[in-house]
Amino acid sequence: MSNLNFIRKLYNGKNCYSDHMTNEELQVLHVHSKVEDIILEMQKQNKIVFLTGNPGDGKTFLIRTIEPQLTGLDVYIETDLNKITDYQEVAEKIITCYKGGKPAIIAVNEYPFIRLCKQIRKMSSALYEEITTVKQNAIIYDMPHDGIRKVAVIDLNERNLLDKDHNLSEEIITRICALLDEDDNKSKQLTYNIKAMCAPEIRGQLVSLLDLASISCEHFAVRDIFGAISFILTACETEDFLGIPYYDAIFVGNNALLQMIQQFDPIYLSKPSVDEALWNGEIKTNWMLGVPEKWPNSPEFDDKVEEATELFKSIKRRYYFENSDGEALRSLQPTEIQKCVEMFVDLEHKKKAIKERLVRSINKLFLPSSDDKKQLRIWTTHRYDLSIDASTAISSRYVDTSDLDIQMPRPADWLNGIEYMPQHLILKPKRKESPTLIMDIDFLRTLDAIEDGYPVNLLAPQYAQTVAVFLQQLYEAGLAEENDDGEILIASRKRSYKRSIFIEDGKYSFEEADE
Amino acid sequence: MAKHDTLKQLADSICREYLGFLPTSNSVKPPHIANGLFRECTGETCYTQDIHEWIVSERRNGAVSSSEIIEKYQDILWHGNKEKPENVKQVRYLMEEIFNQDNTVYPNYEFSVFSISSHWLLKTRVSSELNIGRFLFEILAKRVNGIRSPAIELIQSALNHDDDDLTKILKPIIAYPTDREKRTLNGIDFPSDESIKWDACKEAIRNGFDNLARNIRVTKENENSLLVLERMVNFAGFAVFLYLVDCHFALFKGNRIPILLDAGTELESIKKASEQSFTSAKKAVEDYFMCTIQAALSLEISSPNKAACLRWIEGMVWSSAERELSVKAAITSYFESFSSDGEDPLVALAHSLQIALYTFEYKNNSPSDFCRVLGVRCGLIGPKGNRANVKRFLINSFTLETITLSILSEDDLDGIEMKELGEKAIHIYNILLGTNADAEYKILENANIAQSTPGDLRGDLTINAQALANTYISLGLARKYADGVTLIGWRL
Repeated sequence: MSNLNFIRKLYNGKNCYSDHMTNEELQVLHVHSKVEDIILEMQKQNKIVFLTGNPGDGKTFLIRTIEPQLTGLDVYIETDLNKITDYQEVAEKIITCYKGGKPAIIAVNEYPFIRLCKQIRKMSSALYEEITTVKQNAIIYDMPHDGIRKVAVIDLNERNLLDKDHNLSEEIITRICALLDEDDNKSKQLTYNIKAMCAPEIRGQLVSLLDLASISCEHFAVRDIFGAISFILTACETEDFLGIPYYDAIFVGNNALLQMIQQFDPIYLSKPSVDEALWNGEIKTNWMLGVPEKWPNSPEFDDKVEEATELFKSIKRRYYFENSDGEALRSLQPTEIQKCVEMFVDLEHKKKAIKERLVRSINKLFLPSSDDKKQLRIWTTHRYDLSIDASTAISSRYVDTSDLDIQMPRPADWLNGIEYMPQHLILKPKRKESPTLIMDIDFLRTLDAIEDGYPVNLLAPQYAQTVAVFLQQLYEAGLAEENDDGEILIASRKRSYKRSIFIEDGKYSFEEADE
Repeated sequence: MAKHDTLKQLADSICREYLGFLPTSNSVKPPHIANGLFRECTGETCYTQDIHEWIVSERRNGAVSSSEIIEKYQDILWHGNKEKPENVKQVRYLMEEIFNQDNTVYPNYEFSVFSISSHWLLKTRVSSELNIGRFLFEILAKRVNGIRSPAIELIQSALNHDDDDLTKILKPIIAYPTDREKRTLNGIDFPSDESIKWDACKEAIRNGFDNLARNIRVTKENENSLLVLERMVNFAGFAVFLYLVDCHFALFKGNRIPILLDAGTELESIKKASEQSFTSAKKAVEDYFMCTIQAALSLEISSPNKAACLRWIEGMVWSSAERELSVKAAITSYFESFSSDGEDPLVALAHSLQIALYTFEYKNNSPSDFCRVLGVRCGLIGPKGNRANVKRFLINSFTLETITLSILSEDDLDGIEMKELGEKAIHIYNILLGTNADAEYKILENANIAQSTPGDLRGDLTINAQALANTYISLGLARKYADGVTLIGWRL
């Protein structure tokens, strides 16, 4: 098989599955991940490793890659539990290893893993408990946790190969380009695509799009990454997209990663002067791979508006990647996600400010005019009729913001070095593990929108529901303090207006009414 | 009056003796169900007239003025009778927003119920309760395998918790002059197991309450008493709706109506199919009424031939000559018409009486209207608002969560496939989530819904299921994997 055919099939083809690959092909695609070292070390220590994750995450691939190094360790290996129908038999083998202190490695998708665990629970509660504990504590916050004993659960869902620090996307692009370049008789378009990807500036633009996708809270399997890059480069060789340049291919593919990237298509980045100049063919300089030959304002498109528009989109994408001024358009990419990501980046040195901002946004969920960032109010809403929005919120207690902590997850110590990118923050009481409010990127974006004055009732209601449960848990855990002087705040959410009632010794006093 | 009017008597007896509650009023709101059910579960009522005086604000006709409030309640005001009426007026306005959140507090105390936050707000029976509380309580009280529903204890415990902010606001009023004299403890009136009529639908409702109560404890929602109360009332509303729609199937082997939940994706085929599914649900209620009338008539007419049926119509008693003139003539005419269509005489008579009931007795508050109103208020039916006159099962995320927690067993919380949840939803409530497109399409086909739905219903069912899965994920009840598998459960 030519390299082109091999690479092309990585996109939605059977080459996505390591079972179909020869050892040589495996090595060609092998991208070293820290997980391999972790697994090998554990096998040497006679531990049982469950390698879980989504299909395409590379579980079987990983095992096959390290298999030669496991020889001699007497490891029980199960490369694909999906093919197993008798969970009892597998569970028995694992329990035998567990009791005998023998190493084992089992690759299993998430759902079969749950079924396997249910089977193990029936047969060995000790092993089941250990699996559950290790699984729950694989990703930790700042609280100290026990290390692992006999069992490790490595969830490849948590591995983010697009993690900026590890630069894997750039490595994969380079490697695929090199493989494709080895082939003779390449088409003109494929040669062009390879040449473009070899230019650091152009490759950098693509990597920046992959970075944007990687921070958007979605998990992408190894298969998605290889598939996407394969399609970008080789779509021009397929019947459906014959001759398509890489900069258009990026935005027409249908795998999970490419679909995510589509929302960052440069055609949505509007800079009127640039758009006008591109339409009129006035930008003739700074093209790294040559000036476009056709422009949308060409007379041949006079009666073909749709074709002219399509050409404009293509030229604008080309400008984004291949014109050295195109990089300036990058600053127009949506900032909401980036703003949230900055919270993660800045968390260590701006922890207090970020925490206070989040506390203020949460208070605003219940009282839009609230500016309180020093106290997280324990707001209560209550209604039975779901056809009516809860119009009033009440609060007689609060938690001091200084008693709360905001933390970012990280892999447990035994997973140190794994390619990991945190995708949520938690708000919780200081020095306590619970209750916690888990805020993923979407949630953080919602809070950010509220901070910017977006109307609360237009936002997804489930976040207010989640926050309300967390606030009540803080109260139930005895962490909330009563307001001074028995003050109870009543907030009219519709009118963004509040009043206070004071109850002391069973008597009311009221905030002075507005004149 | 009912005693002297056969049709009214019939209307009354179908609801009271056969159904167990009165689905013949549009005034029912979830707090009415709450008041009835909670009172039955605790055997307690409280004196709440003073609370009512406070929270009916001065903008309402017939409200007590703030000056009068100051005069009457000066002992619980720090400034006594020196308090400014304007201060009290503004606070009462907000108090009304809190405790009349569901628009069930009227200037007339007798008809009012509050957005109940603890046992201190439980009132004696109000007419809009429609006996729903008792109906549901009997389902919970029946000993199944020797035990009553854990939902009873959960409700009791949530109501006893009176430290929430809502109740706290009322504490000075509750404690004035003393809180002891506000409570009336009647004791819980448990029915004997034998006296409870039981059927498959009641069993499904009971299992739903039991699962929900257990899952609320597992997920620690029970630590939030207000949430427990909201959850229980939400499910109670759904249960009443389900019983009404399903009892024709459960008791008379009628067609089981599929409840196609629309995730709000604006898919035309799903919208239409869900609308038709809701229309079929209302038709099933009419069928139940007809079958019940037939069952009642068969006790009275031993040889149900046409002449005997006409004699029965002739023997009907009327509360006025006017009614006799108009309604009797209509029933006779319906009967003749259905008989000439070939309907069996007893069926034709039952059919005629059902039409007469819907036309003359339940003009604007038929059981069909009740289904719509209750469904909207408990988050099962939408879109809300009078302008959207064609309704469908456009489910609210809170209600979806409640129903799901009523389906899942404690074991299931560890994780079951969405497809499996879909199968359970069909089996238990005949709810269609779209997770098993082929099987669900078949169900909709058998219900004559799929045939008249535009577009690719089969394909859109799958898209609808994905949208529901996304709702579950945002509620923290699911996790999605790259191979398309969505697991439903808790803390996955």
